[in-house]
Amino acid sequence: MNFAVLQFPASNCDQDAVHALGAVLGHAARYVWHKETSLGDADAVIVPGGFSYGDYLRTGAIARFSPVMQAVQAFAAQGGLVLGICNGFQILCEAGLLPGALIRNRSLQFRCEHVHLKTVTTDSPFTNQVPPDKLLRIPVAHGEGCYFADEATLAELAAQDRILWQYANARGEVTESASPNGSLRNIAGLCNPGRNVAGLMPHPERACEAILGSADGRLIFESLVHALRSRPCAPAA
Amino acid sequence: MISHRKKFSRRDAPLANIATRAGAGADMKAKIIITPKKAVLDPQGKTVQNALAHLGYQGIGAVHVGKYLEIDVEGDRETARRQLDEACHKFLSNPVIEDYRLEIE
Repeated sequence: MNFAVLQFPASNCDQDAVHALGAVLGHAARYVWHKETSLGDADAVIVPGGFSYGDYLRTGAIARFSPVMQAVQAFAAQGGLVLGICNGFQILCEAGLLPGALIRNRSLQFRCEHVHLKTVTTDSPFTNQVPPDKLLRIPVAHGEGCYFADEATLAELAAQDRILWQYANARGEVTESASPNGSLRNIAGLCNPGRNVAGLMPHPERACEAILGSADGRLIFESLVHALRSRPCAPAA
Repeated sequence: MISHRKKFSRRDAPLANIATRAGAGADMKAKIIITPKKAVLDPQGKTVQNALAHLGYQGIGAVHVGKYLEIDVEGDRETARRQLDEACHKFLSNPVIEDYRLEIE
């Protein structure tokens, strides 16, 4: 599979994503600079973590207007798979590809630690390979990961089964104290109505090898690959 | 309390000067105030509120920490307002979490 990993000024998880997808999982993964207007022959797009454009104004606010994001909008509109991780999730929300916004952690602290994720639904291209009841142990590293959306949006997310991951404790219970950032409904990740665009604050690309403390992140990328292989044909970029 | 006031008024002075100078360089100065929506969690505002109470200030209610932007603008006032209003909505603020107020002087 061909993965396009976007690169903005001050992206800093782009190399981790290319390493995980390429060296670890054996796929073709290449960088796409933010000034590019085409995604080439990409089967899926990863919007990586970092501090794009220095997080000036708001996280993701400037990145969303970069030329490559216009290509991502078109790619997503055609059903292409797009996964935003951390700052990538913030960018996708700013771009309107995902609902809601990510604001300052309720603690006002930058949180950098492993968390437990409950996969709420396996009915998505991002979760189909996660075994039922499997708790994912994946690191977070963010200061602005508190998910916010109005009540109507939250109700819609739940009704349409679009909350993909929630922060949970080690026993898999979704409790307020299990959340590193105070996200509403403990939301760690979600998808769009078409289920082809998703974002999450935790970093699966940093959890693809046992030597890094967890390989649970592989399940998310393997889900993407499984979804791509099951498709009749890939969308044009 | 009086000494506090003096300190703040001195700090505010440069802003007032810019406003009066506006006619000389740029035609107008747009002032944009962005604040978190009331429904949005504002831990920063809450922390500042608690700190004010700790410092002994009386009667302090909810605090909302926002952003302030000044933009030099030239040309027709109505066009400037329309353009900046669009920019506020589309880019400078995020309507999901923020409100904005635009003033042109």
